[in-house]
Amino acid sequence: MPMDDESTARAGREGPATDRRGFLGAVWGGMVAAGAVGRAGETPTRAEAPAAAPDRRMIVRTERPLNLESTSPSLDSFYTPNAEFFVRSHHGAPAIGLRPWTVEVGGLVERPLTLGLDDLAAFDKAEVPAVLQCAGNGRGLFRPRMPGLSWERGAVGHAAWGGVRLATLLEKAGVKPEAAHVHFVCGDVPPTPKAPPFIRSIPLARAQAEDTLLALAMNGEPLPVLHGGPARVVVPGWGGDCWSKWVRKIVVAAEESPHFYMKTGYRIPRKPVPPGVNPPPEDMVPVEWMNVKSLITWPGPGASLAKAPQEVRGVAWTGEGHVVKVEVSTVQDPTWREAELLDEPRQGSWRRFKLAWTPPAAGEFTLQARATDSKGDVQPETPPWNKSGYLWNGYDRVACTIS
Amino acid sequence: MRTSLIALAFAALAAVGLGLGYYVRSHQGMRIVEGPTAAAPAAPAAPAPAASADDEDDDEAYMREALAKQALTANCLVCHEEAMFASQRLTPAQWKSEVDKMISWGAVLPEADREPVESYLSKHFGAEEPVPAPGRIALADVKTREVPGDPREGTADADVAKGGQLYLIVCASCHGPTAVGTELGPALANRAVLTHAEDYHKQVRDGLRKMPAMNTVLNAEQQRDILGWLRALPYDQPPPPATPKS
Repeated sequence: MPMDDESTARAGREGPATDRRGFLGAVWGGMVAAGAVGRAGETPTRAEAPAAAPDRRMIVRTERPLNLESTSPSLDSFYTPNAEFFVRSHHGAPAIGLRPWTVEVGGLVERPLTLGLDDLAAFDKAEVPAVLQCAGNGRGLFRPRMPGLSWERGAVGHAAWGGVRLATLLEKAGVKPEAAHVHFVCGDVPPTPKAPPFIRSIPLARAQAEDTLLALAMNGEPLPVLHGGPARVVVPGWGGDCWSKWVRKIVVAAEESPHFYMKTGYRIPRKPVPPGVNPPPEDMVPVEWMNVKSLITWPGPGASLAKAPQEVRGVAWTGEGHVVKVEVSTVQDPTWREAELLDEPRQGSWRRFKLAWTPPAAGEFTLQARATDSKGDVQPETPPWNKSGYLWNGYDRVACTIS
Repeated sequence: MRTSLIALAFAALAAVGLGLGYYVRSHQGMRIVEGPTAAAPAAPAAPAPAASADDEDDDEAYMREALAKQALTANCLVCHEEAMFASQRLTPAQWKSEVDKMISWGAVLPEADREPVESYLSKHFGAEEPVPAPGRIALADVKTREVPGDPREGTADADVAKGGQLYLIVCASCHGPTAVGTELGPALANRAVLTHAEDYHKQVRDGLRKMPAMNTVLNAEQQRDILGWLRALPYDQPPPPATPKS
């Protein structure tokens, strides 16, 4: 499967390496100013960093476990650079490399498999461009608030995921007729045996879908450990809760995973409920398909712009189907204008958009964007509240100052 | 550089912990000696007020806060850092529910500390409190054991069998016989900390929070043997129990 836009991919990959030198000085200055301690061995190579260099440093939600959010400049390309891709950890990355990594395929199969990384690499390769978004991206924007990491806009990214189709592995192992779900036992270890393991499952049909992968590569590099390397699940169109990292065992079963993160966590009300209402368990369903959403990637939040023609840029994606329209307006003048869509419409992938905008006057403006998908779903101004804060897809809003 | 940074961080933590401990102890001591009518220590710049019920209430409140914070530090930071709660803004009912959940997941919070901790969280991280701007960092600068390091460094000569025996005597009572953690100490088996030999040695030698310093119990070679044994533990721990909770 070829990449959609190879040149963009290269630019995206090489972006951080070249930009890094440029903004190191700024990073250094910022860290010193903030009273943080940096690595003294790593002195800035160019102290005279241009003041306008975008700050691509990640937003720290927590350091232990490591949860980092991407910023607008990092998301302002077709592929998100690996080093700037958001990081979501429940129990933290496992020790990698204590012994060779193997992936077992077992449970309700005719021929259980134990595959080393070389074995996995020997299968036909597949590559899929897909959006990975944390189910809780935007949780920090819901009111009333709820427990959980306060992700705002950047727990999302887009990468070319390379690996082997899960269907290929399941076919080789021979799935028994009574099978209905596929569980992923991962390498991350809960800090105590009382804390629930992150063991989730997806329905067998979805595991067998053409675009569902066991990924070993991300944007042409070996899958980084922080993103689930050596091997993670990729389920294009579905929330990150289904993209299990550090996969050690693929267990075919008749029932879905009985563990906390499947039975209680990552569930949303089947039908919207008023804020504060917690429906009974039978009215809660797992977070699977994402909903339609757009993100303004330029200008960034709080930008200062001249009263001159500007190019508003962003990305938009959905779960099932693809994005067909993105509209942009300002809160001050809510007349929607349709943006130009780039990139091919493709389920699971995102499309960039751009729109020429000349600020009408000096002052404070808040740009807003909303996307529409091929099912006719339109990004709402505010999505239905749910007790765990999943699937926020309200209008994306970016305040800027025009002078 | 990383080592000295971590040393610095540990030293700072230790200093804060010690300071807090002494503060609390000296306050408790003072109360016992001077009795309930004693005045609070006067602020140096302010004119010393006469002892009053208000001062005493303030003093009590301050101490309750200090103790609650200490309970949070000692019991919650075993598994995660402070930002896990400091970045959230919740109602008292939500905080209570979070504390209950954490206790059900193995957090050891003495019953007497539960209410003060819930009050502390509700007061400082309440639904109406402003949210501070989060920190910013480039991935390459994240200094953390959360990112696995070198899985082989420093254990080439380890005597794994000896390490296993020592582990059972010295470490198993808190970290569990198979190193999957207990209520007293976190899991070690197959966790990223095992791939940071320097950090491991430092922490075992000097201790951290509730973990005592082992420098009088283990020498460097013995620590190395234990690390070798921990690194050799299989991936296949006993299957975790399926305990869905609502």
